Amino acid sequence: MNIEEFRIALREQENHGPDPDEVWEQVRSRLEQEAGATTSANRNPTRRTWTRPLIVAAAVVLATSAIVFLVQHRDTRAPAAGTPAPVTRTSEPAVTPSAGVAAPWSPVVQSWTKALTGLARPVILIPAVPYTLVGEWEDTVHRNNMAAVWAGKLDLSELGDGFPAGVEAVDEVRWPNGNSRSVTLAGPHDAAEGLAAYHRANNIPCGCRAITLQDPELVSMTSGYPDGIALPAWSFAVKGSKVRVTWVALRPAEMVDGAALDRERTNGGEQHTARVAADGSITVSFTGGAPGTGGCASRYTGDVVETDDVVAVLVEEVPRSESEPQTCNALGYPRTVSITPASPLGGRVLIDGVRGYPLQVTTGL
Amino acid sequence: MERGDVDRGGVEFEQFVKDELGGWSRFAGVLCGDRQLAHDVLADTVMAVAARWTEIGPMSHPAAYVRRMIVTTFLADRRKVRRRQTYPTDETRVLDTGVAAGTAAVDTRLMLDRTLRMLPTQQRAAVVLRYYLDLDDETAAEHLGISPSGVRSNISRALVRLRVHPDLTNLEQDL
Repeated sequence: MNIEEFRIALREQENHGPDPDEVWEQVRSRLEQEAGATTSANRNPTRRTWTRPLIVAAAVVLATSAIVFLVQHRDTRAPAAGTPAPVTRTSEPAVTPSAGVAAPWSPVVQSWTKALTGLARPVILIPAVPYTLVGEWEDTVHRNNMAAVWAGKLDLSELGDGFPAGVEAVDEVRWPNGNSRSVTLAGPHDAAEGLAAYHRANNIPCGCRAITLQDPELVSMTSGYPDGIALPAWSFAVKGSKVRVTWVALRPAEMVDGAALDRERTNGGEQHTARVAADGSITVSFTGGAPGTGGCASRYTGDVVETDDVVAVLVEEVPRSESEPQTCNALGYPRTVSITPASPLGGRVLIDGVRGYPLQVTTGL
Repeated sequence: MERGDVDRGGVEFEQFVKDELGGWSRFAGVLCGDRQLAHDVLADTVMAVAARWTEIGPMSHPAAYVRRMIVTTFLADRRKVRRRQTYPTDETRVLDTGVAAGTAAVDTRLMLDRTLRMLPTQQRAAVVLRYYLDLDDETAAEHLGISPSGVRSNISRALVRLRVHPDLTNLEQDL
């Protein structure tokens, strides 16, 4: 891995940051608690006036006593040669508890339903960053250009407002199962603005020169998502470089960012997959504990939650009884659980009901 | 105001935080290398922002200032005590190229996780500021509260440590 690849790999670590919503919930809760405490203190002006001086005075007295004691016992406290010095354990600071995690699947379904409202069917899922870089920045420009992309410092003035000659504003997206639907494309300028806006959200200060995008070309990019569809995308030349940058050419109303709804950011990690049979039953495959009936065998149950937009599959391990071993090394077995929704999946999105990511469907819908 | 003084900037503060929290979360994740630690560091930082909102709100680049606060909180937190996790101290772990599990992307992430944890906090922060945020020496130095030459020195030492890993032997400093 060279330094350029290291930068990219480091940037990919950002998917593992905390959930902003959970951080905000915790902050809001702490602010409200603080507000309550402040209000309570204000109701008791006497306590408010005297508490702090009393604490300060007590601290001064204690500190002075400790210094006097240490000075007086300085020599006697030295350990004898060969005797280990006493170890004083300091108590650990309090760890702030995380925001409470609600019931595992209902927030997932709610989030997905909200995200899918108003979208055309079948839904187009995109990965977190529908962006690719084709080629490597030349040595002379790579520091500037990489920083400019990451800061969203893009000059779009050469892109114009319309579509390149011969390119229609409507395209068709096809799914492997034969579904298809037409989509309205975002023009090159609007798509590039999406690329800039995504990176500007990072608020990275950049003393770099803006890079100029030009020569838009309509291409296909793999969504990298479970349904494996090819998405229309704009590929832009970068002035002064051979590198091209690509960004999905769909309007925001045409797609949904599946990664944003993945509660545990499992993107890249192992995910469950699903097979939908002709009779409508769904078999979920995953890696789990050993099958069978032994003390270290794991048993799983499947459940399903359905809405007009989403089918959420919930796979849970049956808790062990207290007489069984609670820790087992028998892991890593291919396991399956089957469920049957009340109505066929159709154009609805199939998701992992616990973690929230869209399930990869391996055979026909 | 029902929520008293802590409401501070009220809607303005809340909107600012909600607008910026996504970017801060991504940055904190890379900086801390641990989602729970990043969560706590970020929450503590936002609490501090709330306490000083009347001072921070009018700044010309409040979001950038808050990012500095995230770095400061991370460094201060780690200086107090390594409280949340214990890591194996056996240096040979970096040579563990054992079983490849999952995709190459996951392998790379785990490898980076492991090797970055070898770095002292200030070196890690310097690497993140340089190679993730692409900050120049002066700006990174402001974030870390050290001199620009200190930033270069931290990055240099960090890269020496990272190059111990077989996959990172080609890391060259591009100062």
